[in-house]
Amino acid sequence: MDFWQGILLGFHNSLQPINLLYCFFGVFIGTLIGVLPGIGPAGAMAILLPVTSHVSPLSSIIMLAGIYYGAMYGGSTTSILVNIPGEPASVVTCLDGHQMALKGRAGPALGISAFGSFIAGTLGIIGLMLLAHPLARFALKFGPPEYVSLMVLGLIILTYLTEKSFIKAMAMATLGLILSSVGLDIISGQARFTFNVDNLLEGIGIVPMVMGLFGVAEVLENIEVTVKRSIFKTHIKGLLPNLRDWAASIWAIIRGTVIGFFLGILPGGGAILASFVSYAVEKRVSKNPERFGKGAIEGVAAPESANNAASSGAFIPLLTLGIPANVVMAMLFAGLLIHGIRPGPLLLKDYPEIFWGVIASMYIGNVMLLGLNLPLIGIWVQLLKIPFRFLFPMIILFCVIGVYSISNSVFDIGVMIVFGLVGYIMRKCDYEPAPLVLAYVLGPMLEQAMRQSLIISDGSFMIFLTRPIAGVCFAVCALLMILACTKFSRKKRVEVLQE
Amino acid sequence: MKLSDRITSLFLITLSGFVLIGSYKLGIGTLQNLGTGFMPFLASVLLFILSLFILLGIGRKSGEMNGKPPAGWKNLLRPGSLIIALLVYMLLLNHLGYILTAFFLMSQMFFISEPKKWFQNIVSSAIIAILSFIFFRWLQVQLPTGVFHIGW
Repeated sequence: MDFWQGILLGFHNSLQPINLLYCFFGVFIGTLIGVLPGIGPAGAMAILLPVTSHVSPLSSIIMLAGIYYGAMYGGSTTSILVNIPGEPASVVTCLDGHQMALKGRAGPALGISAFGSFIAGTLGIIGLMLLAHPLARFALKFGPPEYVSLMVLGLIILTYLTEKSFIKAMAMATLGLILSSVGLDIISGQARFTFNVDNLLEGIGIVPMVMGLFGVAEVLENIEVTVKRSIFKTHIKGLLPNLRDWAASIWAIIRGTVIGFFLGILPGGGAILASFVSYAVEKRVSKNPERFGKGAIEGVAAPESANNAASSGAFIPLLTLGIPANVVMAMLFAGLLIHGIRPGPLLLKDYPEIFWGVIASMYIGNVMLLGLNLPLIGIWVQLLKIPFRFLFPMIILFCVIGVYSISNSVFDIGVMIVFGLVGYIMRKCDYEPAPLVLAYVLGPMLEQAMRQSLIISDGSFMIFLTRPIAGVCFAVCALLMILACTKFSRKKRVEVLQE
Repeated sequence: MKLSDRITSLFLITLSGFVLIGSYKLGIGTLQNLGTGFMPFLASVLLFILSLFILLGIGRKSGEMNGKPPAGWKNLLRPGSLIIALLVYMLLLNHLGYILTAFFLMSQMFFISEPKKWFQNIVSSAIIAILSFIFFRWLQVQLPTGVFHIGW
């Protein structure tokens, strides 16, 4: 199947009424969770993952993908109006977005955020389409050592870029690898760490684990104190940015798109990193950097474009290599696995309708989001008034039933509660759950690829250094480890994070 | 050294030790033919070293608190109550059925945030329990009806 045939097939499938419905449902839920501070896209996807087992694989992936890029759109609303980021990738938008709102320019801030997101999202999808196809073919030449190196690189980058301690993030990644070994060994069939519990023979379920770590833990942390949010009270007018705003923002949007897209591809990268880097770049290239933090429209356009472009770029490693670049992609990976579909180089050959269908649906989803975010902004703002005391019982109920519905097992609810408690303690003690979940998802693949590599090399670890791609990846890993351990780099990293 | 770091690192050291022994018993195998326990063995060694680093404060950012209790444990009563409510829900779900246990869970959660509005909490919980049952059944989710056979 050639490129154009693929695109036609993708649009043919994604324009089916049922898929359009799921696409709308996904972007709607995504915008909703983006607007509401508290639960992020990973948590929402985890909650809806069990529901996807009842629908076709394409519809489920279209919906889950819609949640991800929809959340990127919605996240800016709370950043601008309430100064609380709806999800982590919109943290930077608070800096200038809220300042603009305080100066009576909430409308243009919301407008440029939506238009920037749309432009970046669309350009990102074109990039995804152009790169994913050749990369999927190239990835067919990858062997187990290359996969091992890419997965290790992804984990190292994710831990290196962590907001908190590098050592703690590494510890969580190794804990994730240990947890992934629970259950039957994929090769020998021997039970590992199951303690004669039948429910553990298939391993710890990814859905209860993620729901616990992200959904339940988030609620446990938020119910500690009653926080009253103060919503910016003004009539939002003039959502369409004027020519001056466009002139100031257009290059920021383009730069944000390029930065976001390529950082999104990077294993371990993603929308959060992209938004921070693009903001820093804009500040650096600006003739008046002192305006940043005081309501510069470029400070809204750049990070919002970057996080949307990154959400498109992040699909490349998943669809072409079968390696989830971040936790949200790990949820999409799980969504495909539920239907017995393994993402990777063979996805394009074996399931072209899914490969191209998801990409085409993202075009449609972006158009839907523009319609959802600009004319309906008033409704989203009203949603911010819903108190958390009404929201959290619903989140918990969806988590509990979502987990139970997978295999009608109360054991899974128990697993979710345990991981909810673990996630709560982790948050309190400055441990991040993302490396744990990514390592957990990559663990079985990493183990299998490592075993195969060592069989090929007759037990020599040199295979990971002598093969060019693997060698380069491990060299980058070593460099990052050295950087993370050097005092200067650590100090610099803390400074950058604080900035 | 933060107290929370000390406690968590000691827990992780114990856990890694336990996994190390367990994976050794499973069999590490040879480099030509890796055993079932190889991967967890490798991961547990790494976890042991990293936890030791955390315990010794290596890689810690400057300016962190010394000898003080972990920050941010504001009000453990509410999270604790929610965990207990969830555990009770888990234990009773198959016996009492979805509607009764969902009513219990919802009322507990509303009570956690607004203990004074008990009547409103009970009515809201009953409505949510029934409506959510209808919604989940519409999604074809199998839900337990319990010994009283409430629902379908």
